[in-house]
Amino acid sequence: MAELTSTGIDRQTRARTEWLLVGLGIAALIAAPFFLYPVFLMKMLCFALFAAAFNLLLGYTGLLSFGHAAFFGGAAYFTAHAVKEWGWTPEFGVLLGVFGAAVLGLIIGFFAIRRQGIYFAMITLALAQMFYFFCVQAPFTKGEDGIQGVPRGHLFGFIDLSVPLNMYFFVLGGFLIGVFAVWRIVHSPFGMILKSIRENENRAISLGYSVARYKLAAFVMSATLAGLAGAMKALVFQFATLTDVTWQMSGEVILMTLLGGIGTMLGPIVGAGLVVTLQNYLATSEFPVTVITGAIFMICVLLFRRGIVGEILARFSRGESDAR
Amino acid sequence: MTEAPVSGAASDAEPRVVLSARGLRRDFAGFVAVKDVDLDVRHAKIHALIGPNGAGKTTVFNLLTKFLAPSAGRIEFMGRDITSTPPARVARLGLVRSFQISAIFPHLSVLDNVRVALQRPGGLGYQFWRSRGSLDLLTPRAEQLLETVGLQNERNRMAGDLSYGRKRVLEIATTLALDPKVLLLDEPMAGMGHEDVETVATSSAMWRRIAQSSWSSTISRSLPISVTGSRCFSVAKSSPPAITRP
Repeated sequence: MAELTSTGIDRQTRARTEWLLVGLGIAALIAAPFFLYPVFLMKMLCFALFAAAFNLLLGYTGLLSFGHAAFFGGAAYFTAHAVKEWGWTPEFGVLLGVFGAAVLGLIIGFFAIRRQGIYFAMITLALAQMFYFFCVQAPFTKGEDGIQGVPRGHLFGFIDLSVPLNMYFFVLGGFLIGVFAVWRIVHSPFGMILKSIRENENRAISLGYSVARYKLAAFVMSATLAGLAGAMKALVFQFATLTDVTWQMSGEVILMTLLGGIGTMLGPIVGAGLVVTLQNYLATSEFPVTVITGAIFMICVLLFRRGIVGEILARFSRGESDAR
Repeated sequence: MTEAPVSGAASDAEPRVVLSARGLRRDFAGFVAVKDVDLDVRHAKIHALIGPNGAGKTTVFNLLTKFLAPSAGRIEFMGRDITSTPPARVARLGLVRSFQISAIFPHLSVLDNVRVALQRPGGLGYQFWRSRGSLDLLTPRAEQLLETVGLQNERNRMAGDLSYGRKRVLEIATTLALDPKVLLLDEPMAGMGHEDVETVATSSAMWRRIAQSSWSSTISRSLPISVTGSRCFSVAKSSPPAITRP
């Protein structure tokens, strides 16, 4: 009994430190644009949300999608088109992008969840490639040029988003809402079922869960949040191009998530931050970025398979159990 | 496949049949794994399914619970045709199975393993907007089930860290959490080592309790163990199915 209460207190202090860290992180994100280039930070936030959304599927449901670029890039196109051609305000533009990604997620997910493992990954890849070719051909995407010169507009009609700081806080708000959504889903009764499906799908079926429905729901949620990231990115860079729907983009988000640590809340965010920072600083150098990120990925796979955050958490809990 | 009462002749007042299969057959690309299986599982009885390795005991279980679709035949559960019902649906109707390899969720705690099973009947499956604290109302029932199988002191451990025998016992607890009407246990004692002798010893009392709480239980074993007052089905390797008396 004494042991039980002591673990209870442990958990309480741990929860408190976690909240403290979250608070510090948010404070750092609020202060960051005063010290660092806002566009770089916004890019980081968009990719971090994209990776967090992807992790909801890979880390917590055990589904490896190789077609998440379709939702990210698709939402970017929808938002860019709505804002530029129809003159929608940014908040409605983003909502349309998010909704579009959800619909795409429903269609792709509907077919993909019928298969497991590598076949699931291949179906998502194939359908995402079909969407890519749709984007190459469709007139509204403007083909190779993409949708250029997208106006950022006025948020709610009066906040001018062409001011970098206003735009930054708009993106930060979207990022926090998105990450909170992931956290909420993971730590909910529904999230428990997702984890049990990841752990042992047949057992989940034998307990009476229609796993296909749970997988589809998780897939749509992940696609929706990836869409939020893509929609915001279109407004940040003021364009939507084919780059965001290519299979390389699907690969990049897998890399970010694995590098940071799958199945951890913070992992994908750290991984995305690292990859975006590398891309940013190496972009000006002669050295090809992909070689560096590839090498880092190899080191990660060879030395710390749990990813950066996953490895730190494992060390931390090991040290704790030794101390006890 | 045949039916042979273990002790003496069947009593005149037979309990009603809750699960029945007729002409059950399963082919795997030309190989006939299960052929012409007829069986009746009766209300409030323990039945055993026996046969040598490879006779198709597990396949019969897979067919009954719809994890495999039968190539031919018909399955009825509580007077309802379930031949083409999906497996999760069958489980929700109250026909619940365990697995030969211990089927648990290794990275969830022992308590959470049971709570996952309790979640669905409580309608707490799809709620993605609520906190995990909303599952706390399931904890008393989960603890009660863990106590039934003697795992109450390990509730906070990671299920994957349990010994083999204890994992099996945990699996039984999660299965019981569903309040099954018919329980299908696939080799529940297989592979239990010395450390679990105690668990096995206490388990015969446990089985009795299980038999009382649910309508019917069917146990698949590789070795015929006589359970007094129980019914025994045997699956023979040769076809046509030979009659074996336990």
